[in-house]
Amino acid sequence: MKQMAMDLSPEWILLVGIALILIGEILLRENSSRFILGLIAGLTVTASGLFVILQGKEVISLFSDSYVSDPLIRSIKLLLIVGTLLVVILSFSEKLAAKGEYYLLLLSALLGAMTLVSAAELVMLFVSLELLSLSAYVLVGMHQERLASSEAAWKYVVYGGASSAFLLYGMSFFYGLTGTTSLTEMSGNLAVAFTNNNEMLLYLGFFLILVGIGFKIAAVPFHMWAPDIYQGAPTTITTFLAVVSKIAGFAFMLRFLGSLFGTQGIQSVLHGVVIPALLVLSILSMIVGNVIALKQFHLKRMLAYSSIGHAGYMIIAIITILLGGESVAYSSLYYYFVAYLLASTGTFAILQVVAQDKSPDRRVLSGLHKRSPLLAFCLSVFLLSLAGIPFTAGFIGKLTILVGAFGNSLFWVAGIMLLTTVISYYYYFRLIRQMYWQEDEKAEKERVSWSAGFVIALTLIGTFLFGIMPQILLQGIGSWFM
Amino acid sequence: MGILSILLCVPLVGVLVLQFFPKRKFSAHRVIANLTTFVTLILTIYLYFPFQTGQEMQFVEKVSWFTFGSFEPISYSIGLDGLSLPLLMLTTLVSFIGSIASIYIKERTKQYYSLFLLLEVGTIGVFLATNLVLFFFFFELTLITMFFLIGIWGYSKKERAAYQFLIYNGLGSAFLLIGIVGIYVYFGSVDYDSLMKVIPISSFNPFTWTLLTLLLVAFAIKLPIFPFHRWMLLVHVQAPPSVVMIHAGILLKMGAYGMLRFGVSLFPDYMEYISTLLAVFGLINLLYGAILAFAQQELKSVLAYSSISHMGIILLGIAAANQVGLQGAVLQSISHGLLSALFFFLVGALYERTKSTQLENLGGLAKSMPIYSGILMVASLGLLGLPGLSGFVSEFFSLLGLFERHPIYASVGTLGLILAAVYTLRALLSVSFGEQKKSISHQDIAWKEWLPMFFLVVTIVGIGVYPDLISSTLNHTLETIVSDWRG
Repeated sequence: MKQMAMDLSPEWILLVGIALILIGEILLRENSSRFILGLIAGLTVTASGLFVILQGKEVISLFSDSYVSDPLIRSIKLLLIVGTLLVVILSFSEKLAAKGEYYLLLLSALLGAMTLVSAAELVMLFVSLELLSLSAYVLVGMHQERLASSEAAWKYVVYGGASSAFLLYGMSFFYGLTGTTSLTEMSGNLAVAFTNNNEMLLYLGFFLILVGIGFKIAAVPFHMWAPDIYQGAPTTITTFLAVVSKIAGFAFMLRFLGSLFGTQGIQSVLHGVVIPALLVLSILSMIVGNVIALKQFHLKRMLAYSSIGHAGYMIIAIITILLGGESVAYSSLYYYFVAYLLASTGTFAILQVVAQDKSPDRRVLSGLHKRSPLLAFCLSVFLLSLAGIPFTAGFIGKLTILVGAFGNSLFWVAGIMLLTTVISYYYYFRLIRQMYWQEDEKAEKERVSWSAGFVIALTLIGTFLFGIMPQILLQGIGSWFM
Repeated sequence: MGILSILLCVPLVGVLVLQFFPKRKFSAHRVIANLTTFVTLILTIYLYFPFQTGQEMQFVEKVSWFTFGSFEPISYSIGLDGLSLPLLMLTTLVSFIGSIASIYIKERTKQYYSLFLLLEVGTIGVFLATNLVLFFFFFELTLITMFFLIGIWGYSKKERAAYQFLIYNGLGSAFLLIGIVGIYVYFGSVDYDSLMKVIPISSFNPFTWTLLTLLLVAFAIKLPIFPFHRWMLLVHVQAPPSVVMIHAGILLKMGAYGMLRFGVSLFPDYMEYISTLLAVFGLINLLYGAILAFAQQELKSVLAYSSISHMGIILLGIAAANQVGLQGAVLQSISHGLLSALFFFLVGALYERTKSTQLENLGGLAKSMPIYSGILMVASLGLLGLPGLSGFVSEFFSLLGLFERHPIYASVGTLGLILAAVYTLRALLSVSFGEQKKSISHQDIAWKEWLPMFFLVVTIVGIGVYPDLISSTLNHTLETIVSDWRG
């Protein structure tokens, strides 16, 4: 029992934090500051992260293999925690955070994401996913007085609910074929089921689940929700969706596909169905995301499409992991996660500062270099990192993915990746142009709250550090987690 | 930290120092930028003397940088050899003169000089890097900084120019990156010296062909070679002259350098195999540029097309696939770099006074601006390849090399030289001589302008009279490259 408590400590701590925030919300007067709740949330998340680190290289398996935790999983949990922590810090200067349930939901979403990463059993996977999604639905709609926010929440619920239904239906096929919900047992039974002329059912289940996953990671053609919801949600929550929720979705994808169709899985299914399906998903995401982003005037919509494009790149990394050809595969995905997390969080933090409560279109950036040269510089760096320009983390991320793709002879995908990257230059540089070439009559300096400033500084340092000295992270992934 | 790393850091220090000055202190910004570029120039001249001809890479610095899984580690490695030294000297010289020529930039000078110095880091780094990934880092740095420099300080169509520059060169970089990753994955290394040993000679296979094609296309966009040249015309005309000095003087030469470094020295036999193709493209560039230069009504366009024409000569030199030809190609890079820097300095000075570079609005400047016209005359003579100036030796060597391999192409190529004389003299005549179009007489250039120009003229004459200045360091490196071709 004591051992189990230790093993589950990161999750326990989050639960305790949630309870504390609940109690605090009851005790606090209605119009007093909720800063203390934010502080509790921040400390809880930090403590949870520390316990994840403390667990080290231990391999944990609980509840008859339905909860597993190994260094690889822990590395992703750490990312989720860092992402959430940055969102919590950003929220200190967000008016919405005046409501206690804001932090509560943020923590429960994180809890869902963490158990999702650890889950090795279908029911557990589904429950975690729903915990993450339900919390996120509410968070998106937190701006009750704003129509766009409510609309976004409503859309998110509908789309999300439908995708959950697909996922559940797909899972039921797998359960029916194998008679188990445990992923570890399932991969063995699947081979038997496959030889018994049940291929079609297997494929059907796989595609249904792919729809669910595709929705979560916002890959084309399941991306429709992303622009609307990114636009409508409060900026901090957009950050959470773009970073934490997305990475959790990828972790889910990796876990599910990896344990069922990975190197030990049925090779004919892997090469015949899974990889081609993922390739299609990836290529469509890269092309559609980056091309439609060209036409976007609203900044958050543009970033939504750009993040769809990034999902396409990350799927390539997933494919290389599934093919298992190259040792760099996992670190390339992880590196990309880190680069994407830093650059996206930084970009959204600056958007929050610049646009305040307005809905940001490109014009809010006009003449930023005059008003706040430092902010303009930081945003340029983040955009360059998203565009994958050398000296930023984004470039090394792209380079690692390319090396993995070449190692597995995925030349065409690599080519498309680079071509769409060039397309993406156009819209990223358009924002830079807006900041540096376009003048604006507005003259007052932007007011940067300390919390936003902290997040921006941190992500800026990370973007440069991992861009110029990638060894720190690459070695970290190698020695610490594997 | 070795001397080459210091060389790379000097402009960075300049950028840092600039940040401490308020926005309005224009003259302080200028002084710092000029000083910084001057220090880099002195450093490279200082490097010239201890440089030993007859050795491979020198001043080598190699530090392990990062590792992907089981691949060979990628290192931060820089060095100099006979091929990169002359180009490095060109870079720092043109950067120094370019920063002086930036007096015509009158707004946002702090940002301008910061970017200018960052651009210098990029250009220096490109020639110093001895591994492909590091090369790519610096290559991209020049892309980003140029985008800003064109877009913010350019003329009326600056945005279009900046975007065309970005998209064309971005595509080029994408090709280059695919090529680099391909080489890394299949030959297991990105270091020049180990690649030269690893890449198999005279065993043609389609995969290597693809990699080479990707690299060549990337550099063809940079050079630029005929169908990829559109962006470069816009940049020549729309970017501020001081930036074009760097662009035409150094950045285009990165294309030539890339072809020599990655094409000729990594895949020598492949390059020999396609030499006819290269010669054809070279001729197209040479003649197309020359003919169109003749038809232009605007001075900067004349120079832009003449650049295309001169890049054709570089290509012809590479196509020759022998030592003389390669020597010609490198000399032509240097010579054209110096000449175009001089020309665009002159254009900047002209525009400052006349506010127009349309040939029809100019004329008779020899009377009101004698010093200016004198320097313009020397520059034009250099451009048309008058013996005694740098343009002649480089063109002579390139064509001499080509005669050995493709005598017919080479004879057609000499036609280009005649055309060069025609378009250059036409432009010169309509600027300096003839009737003065406006009654206002312009003030002649001041010492601040003619002194740096004169410095360039001296260098141009120096190389023209005594090409061994460059050839001596260059030849040994070329010999080792050429030794792969029939003994």
